[in-house]
Amino acid sequence: MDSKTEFPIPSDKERQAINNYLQIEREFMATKGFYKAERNLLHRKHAVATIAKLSQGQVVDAYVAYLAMNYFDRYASSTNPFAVGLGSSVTDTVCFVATCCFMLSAKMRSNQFDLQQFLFEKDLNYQPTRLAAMELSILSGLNWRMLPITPFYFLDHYYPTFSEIGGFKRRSINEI
Amino acid sequence: MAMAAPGQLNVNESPSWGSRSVDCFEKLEQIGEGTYGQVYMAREIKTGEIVALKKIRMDNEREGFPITAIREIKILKKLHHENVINLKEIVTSPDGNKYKGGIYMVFEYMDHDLTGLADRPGMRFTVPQIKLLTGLHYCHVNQVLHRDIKGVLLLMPSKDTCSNLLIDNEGNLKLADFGLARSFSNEHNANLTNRVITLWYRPPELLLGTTRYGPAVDMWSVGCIFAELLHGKPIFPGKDEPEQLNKIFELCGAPDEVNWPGVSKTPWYNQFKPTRPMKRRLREVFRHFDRHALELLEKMLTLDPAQKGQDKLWICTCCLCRFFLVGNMSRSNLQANTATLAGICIFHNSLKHSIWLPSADSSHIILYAL
Repeated sequence: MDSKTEFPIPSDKERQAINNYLQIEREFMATKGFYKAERNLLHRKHAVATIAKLSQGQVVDAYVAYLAMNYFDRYASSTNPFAVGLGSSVTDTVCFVATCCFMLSAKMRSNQFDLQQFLFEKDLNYQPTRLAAMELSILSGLNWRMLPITPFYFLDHYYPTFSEIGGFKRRSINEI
Repeated sequence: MAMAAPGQLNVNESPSWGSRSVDCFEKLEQIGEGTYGQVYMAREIKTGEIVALKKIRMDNEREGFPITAIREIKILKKLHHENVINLKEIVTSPDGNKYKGGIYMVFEYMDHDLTGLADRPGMRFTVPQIKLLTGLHYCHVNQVLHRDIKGVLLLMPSKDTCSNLLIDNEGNLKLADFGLARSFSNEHNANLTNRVITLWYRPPELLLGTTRYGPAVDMWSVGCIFAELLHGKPIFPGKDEPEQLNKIFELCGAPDEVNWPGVSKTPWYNQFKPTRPMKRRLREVFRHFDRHALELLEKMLTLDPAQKGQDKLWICTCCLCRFFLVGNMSRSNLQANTATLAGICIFHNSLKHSIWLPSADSSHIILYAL
Protein backbone atom coordinates (compact mmCIF):
# COMPACT_ATOMS: atom_id res chain seq x y z
CA MET A 1 0.00 0.00 0.00
CA ASP A 2 2.84 2.32 0.81
CA SER A 3 4.23 2.27 -2.64
CA LYS A 4 0.84 3.12 -4.03
CA THR A 5 0.63 6.33 -2.12
CA GLU A 6 4.15 7.18 -3.11
CA PHE A 7 3.45 6.56 -6.77
CA PRO A 8 -0.10 7.47 -7.58
CA ILE A 9 -1.57 5.87 -10.65
CA PRO A 10 -0.98 8.21 -13.56
CA SER A 11 -3.96 10.01 -14.97
CA ASP A 12 -4.91 9.60 -18.61
CA LYS A 13 -3.42 12.93 -19.34
CA GLU A 14 -0.10 11.99 -17.80
CA ARG A 15 -0.04 8.74 -19.70
CA GLN A 16 -0.74 10.56 -22.89
CA ALA A 17 2.00 13.02 -22.13
CA ILE A 18 4.51 10.24 -21.60
CA ASN A 19 3.51 8.68 -24.89
CA ASN A 20 4.00 11.94 -26.65
CA TYR A 21 7.36 12.39 -25.01
CA LEU A 22 8.41 8.93 -26.11
CA GLN A 23 7.42 9.70 -29.64
CA ILE A 24 9.26 12.96 -29.95
CA GLU A 25 12.23 12.24 -27.74
CA ARG A 26 14.21 11.08 -30.75
CA GLU A 27 13.96 14.54 -32.26
CA PHE A 28 15.98 15.86 -29.38
CA MET A 29 18.81 13.41 -29.57
CA ALA A 30 22.00 13.39 -31.53
CA THR A 31 21.78 11.53 -34.82
CA LYS A 32 22.19 7.79 -34.83
CA GLY A 33 25.79 6.69 -34.78
CA PHE A 34 26.95 10.03 -33.45
CA TYR A 35 28.47 8.51 -30.35
CA LYS A 36 30.35 5.91 -32.37
CA ALA A 37 32.51 8.17 -34.47
CA GLU A 38 35.94 8.63 -32.97
CA ARG A 39 36.11 12.29 -33.93
CA ASN A 40 32.78 13.09 -32.35
CA LEU A 41 33.85 11.51 -29.10
CA LEU A 42 36.96 13.62 -29.05
CA HIS A 43 34.99 16.79 -29.72
CA ARG A 44 32.56 15.75 -27.07
CA LYS A 45 35.32 15.34 -24.54
CA HIS A 46 36.47 18.89 -25.19
CA ALA A 47 32.94 20.13 -24.96
CA VAL A 48 32.28 18.34 -21.69
CA ALA A 49 35.49 19.77 -20.27
CA THR A 50 34.55 23.27 -21.41
CA ILE A 51 31.04 23.08 -20.08
CA ALA A 52 32.13 21.51 -16.81
CA LYS A 53 34.58 24.34 -16.34
CA LEU A 54 31.95 26.93 -17.13
CA SER A 55 29.46 25.46 -14.69
CA GLN A 56 31.92 25.58 -11.86
CA GLY A 57 31.16 28.14 -9.23
CA GLN A 58 28.09 29.10 -11.13
CA VAL A 59 24.93 29.43 -9.10
CA VAL A 60 22.92 27.71 -11.77
CA ASP A 61 21.00 24.50 -11.63
CA ALA A 62 22.71 21.36 -12.84
CA TYR A 63 20.28 21.14 -15.70
CA VAL A 64 22.00 24.05 -17.43
CA ALA A 65 25.09 22.00 -18.08
CA TYR A 66 23.02 19.02 -19.12
CA LEU A 67 21.01 21.12 -21.50
CA ALA A 68 24.16 22.65 -22.91
CA MET A 69 25.48 19.19 -23.71
CA ASN A 70 22.20 18.29 -25.34
CA TYR A 71 22.51 21.37 -27.55
CA PHE A 72 26.09 20.53 -28.28
CA ASP A 73 25.42 16.96 -29.31
CA ARG A 74 22.56 17.95 -31.51
CA TYR A 75 24.47 20.78 -33.08
CA ALA A 76 27.50 18.62 -33.59
CA SER A 77 25.31 16.10 -35.40
CA SER A 78 24.33 18.74 -37.91
CA THR A 79 26.08 19.52 -41.12
CA ASN A 80 29.44 21.15 -40.98
CA PRO A 81 29.24 22.19 -37.36
CA PHE A 82 32.78 23.24 -36.77
CA ALA A 83 33.71 25.40 -39.69
CA VAL A 84 37.00 26.76 -38.62
CA GLY A 85 37.75 30.43 -38.70
CA LEU A 86 41.03 32.02 -39.54
CA GLY A 87 43.72 31.42 -37.00
CA SER A 88 41.91 28.89 -34.86
CA SER A 89 41.91 25.15 -34.59
CA VAL A 90 39.06 22.70 -34.59
CA THR A 91 39.49 22.24 -30.86
CA ASP A 92 39.19 25.97 -30.31
CA THR A 93 36.06 26.03 -32.38
CA VAL A 94 34.62 23.09 -30.47
CA CYS A 95 35.25 24.89 -27.20
CA PHE A 96 33.77 28.03 -28.64
CA VAL A 97 30.64 26.18 -29.74
CA ALA A 98 30.40 24.53 -26.32
CA THR A 99 30.64 27.94 -24.66
CA CYS A 100 27.82 29.24 -26.81
CA CYS A 101 25.75 26.16 -26.00
CA PHE A 102 26.30 26.88 -22.35
CA MET A 103 25.27 30.52 -22.79
CA LEU A 104 22.11 29.52 -24.58
CA SER A 105 21.23 26.95 -22.01
CA ALA A 106 21.85 29.41 -19.19
CA LYS A 107 19.54 31.85 -20.94
CA MET A 108 16.86 29.25 -21.35
CA ARG A 109 16.97 28.38 -17.69
CA SER A 110 17.12 31.80 -16.16
CA ASN A 111 16.12 35.33 -16.85
CA GLN A 112 19.29 37.08 -16.09
CA PHE A 113 22.31 36.47 -18.12
CA ASP A 114 25.01 39.05 -18.06
CA LEU A 115 27.40 38.48 -20.87
CA GLN A 116 30.08 40.86 -19.66
CA GLN A 117 30.09 39.36 -16.22
CA PHE A 118 30.10 35.87 -17.64
CA LEU A 119 33.08 36.58 -19.87
CA PHE A 120 34.89 38.31 -17.06
CA GLU A 121 34.33 35.60 -14.48
CA LYS A 122 35.27 32.83 -16.82
CA ASP A 123 38.21 34.78 -18.12
CA LEU A 124 37.03 34.40 -21.69
CA ASN A 125 38.07 36.60 -24.49
CA TYR A 126 35.49 36.18 -27.21
CA GLN A 127 34.05 38.94 -29.34
CA PRO A 128 30.40 39.55 -28.40
CA THR A 129 29.40 39.76 -32.05
CA ARG A 130 31.14 36.50 -32.79
CA LEU A 131 29.35 34.87 -29.86
CA ALA A 132 26.01 36.16 -31.00
CA ALA A 133 26.62 34.90 -34.51
CA MET A 134 27.51 31.47 -33.23
CA GLU A 135 24.51 31.45 -30.95
CA LEU A 136 22.30 32.17 -33.93
CA SER A 137 24.03 29.45 -35.85
CA ILE A 138 23.37 26.95 -33.07
CA LEU A 139 19.79 28.09 -32.65
CA SER A 140 19.03 27.61 -36.29
CA GLY A 141 21.03 24.40 -36.36
CA LEU A 142 18.73 23.09 -33.66
CA ASN A 143 15.79 24.50 -35.54
CA TRP A 144 15.04 26.66 -32.51
CA ARG A 145 13.87 23.72 -30.50
CA MET A 146 15.41 24.67 -27.24
CA LEU A 147 13.31 22.74 -24.75
CA PRO A 148 14.28 19.18 -25.50
CA ILE A 149 12.65 16.11 -24.10
CA THR A 150 15.30 14.61 -21.90
CA PRO A 151 15.42 11.52 -19.70
CA PHE A 152 14.37 13.68 -16.76
CA TYR A 153 10.91 13.92 -18.25
CA PHE A 154 10.46 10.21 -17.75
CA LEU A 155 11.56 10.01 -14.15
CA ASP A 156 8.12 10.45 -12.67
CA HIS A 157 6.83 7.78 -14.93
CA TYR A 158 9.52 5.27 -14.12
CA TYR A 159 9.77 5.71 -10.37
CA PRO A 160 7.48 2.74 -9.76
CA THR A 161 9.58 0.62 -12.10
CA PHE A 162 12.77 1.60 -10.33
CA SER A 163 11.30 0.67 -7.04
CA GLU A 164 10.24 -2.72 -8.37
CA ILE A 165 13.67 -3.44 -9.77
CA GLY A 166 15.82 -2.48 -6.88
CA GLY A 167 13.67 -1.00 -4.20
CA PHE A 168 14.95 2.44 -5.07
CA LYS A 169 13.24 5.24 -3.29
CA ARG A 170 12.29 8.43 -5.01
CA ARG A 171 14.74 10.37 -2.93
CA SER A 172 17.75 8.31 -3.85
CA ILE A 173 16.89 8.64 -7.49
CA ASN A 174 16.58 12.37 -7.19
CA GLU A 175 19.96 12.50 -5.60
CA ILE A 176 21.50 10.94 -8.67
CA MET B 1 25.70 23.82 -48.05
CA ALA B 2 29.25 22.91 -48.93
CA MET B 3 30.94 20.73 -46.42
CA ALA B 4 34.16 22.03 -45.05
CA ALA B 5 36.44 19.26 -43.92
CA PRO B 6 37.76 19.68 -40.40
CA GLY B 7 40.72 21.92 -40.34
CA GLN B 8 39.96 23.41 -43.67
CA LEU B 9 39.99 27.15 -43.76
CA ASN B 10 36.65 28.74 -43.97
CA VAL B 11 36.77 32.41 -44.68
CA ASN B 12 33.36 32.80 -43.21
CA GLU B 13 34.40 33.29 -39.61
CA SER B 14 31.04 32.62 -38.06
CA PRO B 15 29.00 30.44 -40.29
CA SER B 16 25.41 31.53 -40.15
CA TRP B 17 24.01 28.11 -40.33
CA GLY B 18 21.21 27.90 -42.78
CA SER B 19 20.42 31.57 -42.82
CA ARG B 20 20.44 33.74 -45.87
CA SER B 21 21.62 37.28 -46.06
CA VAL B 22 19.30 40.22 -45.74
CA ASP B 23 20.71 41.26 -49.09
CA CYS B 24 18.23 38.86 -50.64
CA PHE B 25 15.66 41.47 -49.82
CA GLU B 26 15.20 45.00 -50.98
CA LYS B 27 13.83 47.29 -48.30
CA LEU B 28 10.92 49.32 -49.58
CA GLU B 29 9.76 51.38 -46.64
CA GLN B 30 9.72 51.40 -42.92
CA ILE B 31 6.28 50.44 -41.71
CA GLY B 32 6.74 50.34 -38.01
CA GLU B 33 9.04 51.33 -35.27
CA GLY B 34 9.16 50.73 -31.59
CA THR B 35 11.36 49.86 -28.75
CA TYR B 36 11.96 46.52 -30.38
CA GLY B 37 13.51 48.00 -33.47
CA GLN B 38 12.18 48.60 -36.92
CA VAL B 39 9.84 46.81 -39.23
CA TYR B 40 10.24 47.20 -42.94
CA MET B 41 8.23 46.29 -45.93
CA ALA B 42 10.59 44.58 -48.30
CA ARG B 43 10.67 42.67 -51.53
CA GLU B 44 12.49 39.43 -51.98
CA ILE B 45 14.64 40.14 -54.96
CA LYS B 46 14.55 36.68 -56.46
CA THR B 47 10.85 36.02 -56.24
CA GLY B 48 9.45 39.53 -56.00
CA GLU B 49 7.45 38.50 -52.97
CA ILE B 50 6.56 41.24 -50.53
CA VAL B 51 7.47 40.51 -46.93
CA ALA B 52 7.83 42.27 -43.63
CA LEU B 53 11.30 42.41 -42.13
CA LYS B 54 11.57 42.86 -38.41
CA LYS B 55 14.96 43.80 -37.17
CA ILE B 56 15.99 42.19 -33.94
CA ARG B 57 17.39 44.69 -31.54
CA MET B 58 20.87 43.48 -30.79
CA ASP B 59 22.71 44.42 -27.71
CA ASN B 60 25.62 42.10 -28.07
CA GLU B 61 27.50 43.58 -25.20
CA ARG B 62 24.80 42.88 -22.69
CA GLU B 63 23.63 39.38 -23.32
CA GLY B 64 24.80 38.17 -26.68
CA PHE B 65 21.96 36.91 -28.77
CA PRO B 66 18.94 38.46 -27.05
CA ILE B 67 17.00 36.05 -24.92
CA THR B 68 13.73 37.70 -25.88
CA ALA B 69 14.46 37.07 -29.51
CA ILE B 70 15.32 33.46 -28.77
CA ARG B 71 11.97 32.99 -27.11
CA GLU B 72 10.03 34.82 -29.72
CA ILE B 73 11.50 32.91 -32.60
CA LYS B 74 11.39 29.62 -30.78
CA ILE B 75 7.68 30.07 -30.20
CA LEU B 76 6.90 31.40 -33.63
CA LYS B 77 8.70 28.44 -35.11
CA LYS B 78 6.24 26.22 -33.36
CA LEU B 79 3.16 28.08 -34.40
CA HIS B 80 1.70 27.02 -37.67
CA HIS B 81 -1.74 28.29 -37.96
CA GLU B 82 -3.56 30.12 -40.64
CA ASN B 83 -4.33 32.88 -38.20
CA VAL B 84 -0.95 33.29 -36.74
CA ILE B 85 1.58 35.36 -38.53
CA ASN B 86 3.99 33.13 -40.36
CA LEU B 87 7.66 33.49 -39.61
CA LYS B 88 9.27 32.58 -42.89
CA GLU B 89 12.90 32.66 -41.99
CA ILE B 90 15.67 34.41 -40.20
CA VAL B 91 18.14 36.37 -42.24
CA THR B 92 21.32 38.00 -41.16
CA SER B 93 23.36 40.79 -42.53
CA PRO B 94 26.96 39.81 -42.92
CA ASP B 95 29.55 42.10 -41.43
CA GLY B 96 30.66 44.78 -43.76
CA ASN B 97 27.39 45.53 -45.39
CA LYS B 98 25.47 48.58 -44.41
CA TYR B 99 23.11 46.82 -42.02
CA LYS B 100 26.05 45.41 -40.18
CA GLY B 101 25.50 42.60 -37.78
CA GLY B 102 21.76 42.78 -37.88
CA ILE B 103 19.40 39.86 -37.61
CA TYR B 104 16.00 40.05 -39.18
CA MET B 105 12.89 38.01 -38.92
CA VAL B 106 11.07 37.64 -42.18
CA PHE B 107 7.31 37.57 -41.98
CA GLU B 108 4.62 37.37 -44.54
CA TYR B 109 3.38 40.83 -45.32
CA MET B 110 -0.07 41.80 -44.16
CA ASP B 111 -1.87 44.79 -45.58
CA HIS B 112 -3.74 46.10 -42.58
CA ASP B 113 -4.11 45.85 -38.91
CA LEU B 114 -7.42 45.79 -37.18
CA THR B 115 -6.99 49.28 -35.85
CA GLY B 116 -6.54 50.66 -39.28
CA LEU B 117 -9.62 48.97 -40.61
CA ALA B 118 -11.80 49.72 -37.65
CA ASP B 119 -10.79 53.35 -37.78
CA ARG B 120 -11.77 53.72 -41.35
CA PRO B 121 -14.93 55.81 -41.59
CA GLY B 122 -17.90 53.84 -42.77
CA MET B 123 -16.12 50.62 -42.12
CA ARG B 124 -18.35 48.28 -40.30
CA PHE B 125 -17.67 44.72 -39.46
CA THR B 126 -20.37 42.35 -40.49
CA VAL B 127 -21.39 39.46 -38.37
CA PRO B 128 -19.73 36.88 -40.59
CA GLN B 129 -16.52 38.81 -40.39
CA ILE B 130 -16.72 38.99 -36.68
CA LYS B 131 -17.54 35.36 -36.55
CA LEU B 132 -14.49 34.75 -38.56
CA LEU B 133 -12.47 36.64 -36.04
CA THR B 134 -13.91 35.02 -32.98
CA GLY B 135 -14.54 31.67 -34.51
CA LEU B 136 -11.07 31.38 -35.78
CA HIS B 137 -9.62 32.39 -32.53
CA TYR B 138 -11.82 30.00 -30.73
CA CYS B 139 -10.78 27.12 -32.90
CA HIS B 140 -7.35 28.28 -32.59
CA VAL B 141 -7.39 28.34 -28.90
CA ASN B 142 -9.24 25.11 -28.63
CA GLN B 143 -6.89 23.45 -30.94
CA VAL B 144 -4.14 24.70 -28.83
CA LEU B 145 -5.77 23.32 -25.78
CA HIS B 146 -6.12 19.88 -27.17
CA ARG B 147 -3.30 19.57 -29.54
CA ASP B 148 -0.02 18.62 -28.04
CA ILE B 149 1.82 18.95 -24.82
CA LYS B 150 3.81 21.91 -25.84
CA GLY B 151 0.71 23.69 -26.96
CA VAL B 152 0.63 27.25 -27.83
CA LEU B 153 -0.39 30.75 -27.62
CA LEU B 154 -1.71 33.65 -25.74
CA LEU B 155 -1.15 37.25 -26.35
CA MET B 156 -0.22 39.65 -23.64
CA PRO B 157 -1.59 43.12 -23.61
CA SER B 158 0.86 45.14 -25.52
CA LYS B 159 1.68 48.63 -24.54
CA ASP B 160 0.57 51.47 -26.65
CA THR B 161 1.84 49.99 -29.83
CA CYS B 162 0.03 48.99 -32.89
CA SER B 163 -2.64 46.48 -33.46
CA ASN B 164 -1.34 43.01 -33.75
CA LEU B 165 -4.26 41.68 -35.60
CA LEU B 166 -3.19 41.92 -39.16
CA ILE B 167 -5.51 41.56 -42.05
CA ASP B 168 -4.61 41.17 -45.68
CA ASN B 169 -6.62 42.43 -48.60
CA GLU B 170 -8.45 39.15 -48.93
CA GLY B 171 -9.75 39.52 -45.42
CA ASN B 172 -7.56 36.88 -43.86
CA LEU B 173 -6.75 37.65 -40.34
CA LYS B 174 -3.47 36.87 -38.67
CA LEU B 175 -2.21 37.33 -35.27
CA ALA B 176 1.14 38.96 -35.03
CA ASP B 177 3.13 40.65 -32.42
CA PHE B 178 4.86 38.06 -30.41
CA GLY B 179 7.72 39.79 -28.82
CA LEU B 180 7.23 42.91 -26.90
CA ALA B 181 4.23 43.33 -24.76
CA ARG B 182 3.67 44.46 -21.26
CA SER B 183 4.73 42.64 -18.23
CA PHE B 184 1.83 41.18 -16.40
CA SER B 185 3.27 41.60 -12.95
CA ASN B 186 1.13 43.14 -10.25
CA GLU B 187 2.71 46.54 -10.33
CA HIS B 188 2.18 46.74 -14.00
CA ASN B 189 -1.40 45.75 -13.65
CA ALA B 190 -2.03 48.79 -11.61
CA ASN B 191 -0.48 50.97 -14.25
CA LEU B 192 -2.17 49.17 -16.98
CA THR B 193 -5.55 50.25 -15.76
CA ASN B 194 -5.06 53.91 -15.93
CA ARG B 195 -2.72 54.16 -18.77
CA VAL B 196 -3.91 51.53 -21.12
CA ILE B 197 -7.46 50.60 -20.53
CA THR B 198 -9.30 53.65 -21.60
CA LEU B 199 -12.43 54.56 -19.75
CA TRP B 200 -14.83 53.16 -22.32
CA TYR B 201 -13.31 49.73 -22.03
CA ARG B 202 -12.66 49.72 -18.33
CA PRO B 203 -14.40 46.97 -16.41
CA PRO B 204 -16.74 47.71 -13.49
CA GLU B 205 -14.44 46.18 -10.89
CA LEU B 206 -11.79 48.72 -11.74
CA LEU B 207 -14.30 51.52 -11.81
CA LEU B 208 -15.36 50.42 -8.35
CA GLY B 209 -11.82 50.79 -7.15
CA THR B 210 -10.62 47.21 -6.96
CA THR B 211 -6.88 47.03 -6.91
CA ARG B 212 -6.48 43.29 -7.13
CA TYR B 213 -7.67 41.90 -10.39
CA GLY B 214 -6.77 39.42 -13.03
CA PRO B 215 -7.14 38.71 -16.69
CA ALA B 216 -10.88 39.18 -16.35
CA VAL B 217 -10.30 42.87 -16.92
CA ASP B 218 -9.18 42.11 -20.43
CA MET B 219 -12.24 40.10 -21.02
CA TRP B 220 -14.46 43.00 -20.24
CA SER B 221 -12.62 45.30 -22.57
CA VAL B 222 -12.85 42.81 -25.31
CA GLY B 223 -16.51 42.41 -24.72
CA CYS B 224 -16.86 46.14 -25.20
CA ILE B 225 -14.80 46.12 -28.34
CA PHE B 226 -16.54 43.10 -29.69
CA ALA B 227 -19.90 44.72 -29.19
CA GLU B 228 -18.57 47.94 -30.65
CA LEU B 229 -17.49 46.28 -33.84
CA LEU B 230 -20.90 44.72 -34.25
CA HIS B 231 -22.79 47.75 -33.13
CA GLY B 232 -20.82 50.22 -35.16
CA LYS B 233 -20.16 52.54 -32.25
CA PRO B 234 -18.84 52.33 -28.72
CA ILE B 235 -21.32 50.78 -26.32
CA PHE B 236 -20.22 52.56 -23.15
CA PRO B 237 -18.98 56.02 -24.19
CA GLY B 238 -18.80 57.48 -20.71
CA LYS B 239 -17.42 60.97 -20.12
CA ASP B 240 -16.22 60.27 -16.62
CA GLU B 241 -16.15 57.43 -14.19
CA PRO B 242 -19.61 57.86 -12.65
CA GLU B 243 -21.17 58.13 -16.06
CA GLN B 244 -19.19 55.17 -17.25
CA LEU B 245 -20.48 53.03 -14.41
CA ASN B 246 -23.97 54.25 -15.00
CA LYS B 247 -23.85 53.28 -18.64
CA ILE B 248 -22.59 49.87 -17.68
CA PHE B 249 -25.32 49.38 -15.11
CA GLU B 250 -27.96 50.50 -17.56
CA LEU B 251 -26.97 47.79 -19.96
CA CYS B 252 -25.72 45.06 -17.73
CA GLY B 253 -27.94 45.63 -14.74
CA ALA B 254 -27.04 46.91 -11.34
CA PRO B 255 -24.64 44.81 -9.33
CA ASP B 256 -25.78 43.32 -6.08
CA GLU B 257 -24.64 40.60 -3.75
CA VAL B 258 -26.60 38.06 -5.79
CA ASN B 259 -25.06 38.59 -9.21
CA TRP B 260 -21.72 39.74 -7.87
CA PRO B 261 -20.92 38.44 -4.40
CA GLY B 262 -18.56 40.81 -2.68
CA VAL B 263 -19.41 43.84 -4.73
CA SER B 264 -20.51 45.80 -1.70
CA LYS B 265 -17.00 45.50 -0.31
CA THR B 266 -15.37 47.21 -3.26
CA PRO B 267 -13.89 50.55 -2.21
CA TRP B 268 -16.21 52.84 -4.09
CA TYR B 269 -19.36 50.79 -4.12
CA ASN B 270 -21.28 52.98 -1.73
CA GLN B 271 -20.34 56.05 -3.63
CA PHE B 272 -21.38 54.73 -6.99
CA LYS B 273 -24.10 52.25 -6.25
CA PRO B 274 -27.16 52.76 -8.37
CA THR B 275 -29.99 54.63 -6.77
CA ARG B 276 -32.70 52.71 -8.56
CA PRO B 277 -32.95 49.07 -9.57
CA MET B 278 -31.73 48.31 -13.06
CA LYS B 279 -32.31 45.20 -15.09
CA ARG B 280 -29.84 43.53 -17.40
CA ARG B 281 -30.86 44.58 -20.89
CA LEU B 282 -28.01 43.19 -22.89
CA ARG B 283 -30.06 40.67 -24.84
CA GLU B 284 -32.75 43.18 -25.48
CA VAL B 285 -30.51 45.96 -26.69
CA PHE B 286 -28.40 43.76 -28.90
CA ARG B 287 -31.16 41.43 -30.04
CA HIS B 288 -30.21 42.02 -33.66
CA PHE B 289 -26.82 40.44 -33.05
CA ASP B 290 -26.00 36.99 -34.17
CA ARG B 291 -26.98 34.43 -31.56
CA HIS B 292 -23.45 33.18 -31.03
CA ALA B 293 -22.07 36.64 -30.85
CA LEU B 294 -24.62 37.50 -28.24
CA GLU B 295 -23.78 34.46 -26.21
CA LEU B 296 -20.13 35.29 -26.23
CA LEU B 297 -20.93 38.84 -25.35
CA GLU B 298 -23.07 37.75 -22.43
CA LYS B 299 -20.10 35.87 -21.07
CA MET B 300 -17.64 38.62 -21.63
CA LEU B 301 -19.77 41.34 -20.14
CA THR B 302 -20.46 39.57 -16.88
CA LEU B 303 -20.31 41.97 -14.00
CA ASP B 304 -18.70 39.70 -11.45
CA PRO B 305 -15.09 39.16 -12.46
CA ALA B 306 -14.95 35.92 -10.50
CA GLN B 307 -17.67 34.36 -12.60
CA LYS B 308 -15.63 34.82 -15.68
CA GLY B 309 -12.93 32.59 -14.38
CA GLN B 310 -14.47 29.23 -13.93
CA ASP B 311 -13.10 26.98 -16.58
CA LYS B 312 -10.55 26.65 -19.23
CA LEU B 313 -12.77 28.06 -21.83
CA TRP B 314 -12.49 31.21 -19.94
CA ILE B 315 -8.79 31.16 -20.28
CA CYS B 316 -9.22 30.72 -23.97
CA THR B 317 -11.57 33.58 -24.03
CA CYS B 318 -9.00 35.65 -22.30
CA CYS B 319 -6.57 34.82 -25.01
CA LEU B 320 -9.14 35.84 -27.46
CA CYS B 321 -9.74 38.92 -25.46
CA ARG B 322 -6.20 39.95 -25.57
CA PHE B 323 -6.13 39.57 -29.29
CA PHE B 324 -8.98 41.93 -29.63
CA LEU B 325 -7.92 44.13 -26.85
CA VAL B 326 -4.54 44.91 -28.15
CA GLY B 327 -5.91 45.32 -31.57
CA ASN B 328 -8.33 47.94 -30.57
CA MET B 329 -7.31 49.58 -27.40
CA SER B 330 -4.51 51.27 -29.07
CA ARG B 331 -6.60 52.86 -31.74
CA SER B 332 -6.18 56.33 -30.38
CA ASN B 333 -2.46 56.42 -30.79
CA LEU B 334 -2.01 54.20 -33.69
CA GLN B 335 -1.45 54.12 -37.33
CA ALA B 336 -2.49 51.42 -39.66
CA ASN B 337 -0.33 48.99 -41.47
CA THR B 338 2.12 48.14 -38.82
CA ALA B 339 3.49 44.75 -38.58
CA THR B 340 4.78 44.79 -35.09
CA LEU B 341 5.18 41.89 -32.82
CA ALA B 342 3.99 41.61 -29.26
CA GLY B 343 4.07 39.12 -26.47
CA ILE B 344 2.89 35.65 -26.06
CA CYS B 345 3.11 32.87 -23.74
CA ILE B 346 2.94 29.25 -24.29
CA PHE B 347 -0.27 27.90 -23.10
CA HIS B 348 0.12 24.53 -21.60
CA ASN B 349 -2.98 22.52 -21.17
CA SER B 350 -2.21 21.68 -17.64
CA LEU B 351 -1.38 24.93 -16.02
CA LYS B 352 -0.07 23.34 -12.88
CA HIS B 353 2.92 22.14 -14.81
CA SER B 354 3.78 25.55 -16.05
CA ILE B 355 5.70 28.47 -14.80
CA TRP B 356 5.44 32.11 -15.61
CA LEU B 357 8.64 33.88 -16.36
CA PRO B 358 9.08 37.50 -17.14
CA SER B 359 11.36 38.10 -20.05
CA ALA B 360 14.78 39.54 -19.53
CA ASP B 361 13.70 43.09 -20.11
CA SER B 362 10.30 42.55 -18.48
CA SER B 363 8.70 43.44 -21.71
CA HIS B 364 6.61 40.34 -21.69
CA ILE B 365 6.11 37.13 -19.89
CA ILE B 366 6.17 33.66 -21.13
CA LEU B 367 4.32 30.75 -19.72
CA TYR B 368 6.61 27.83 -19.86
CA ALA B 369 5.30 24.38 -20.25
CA LEU B 370 7.41 22.19 -18.10
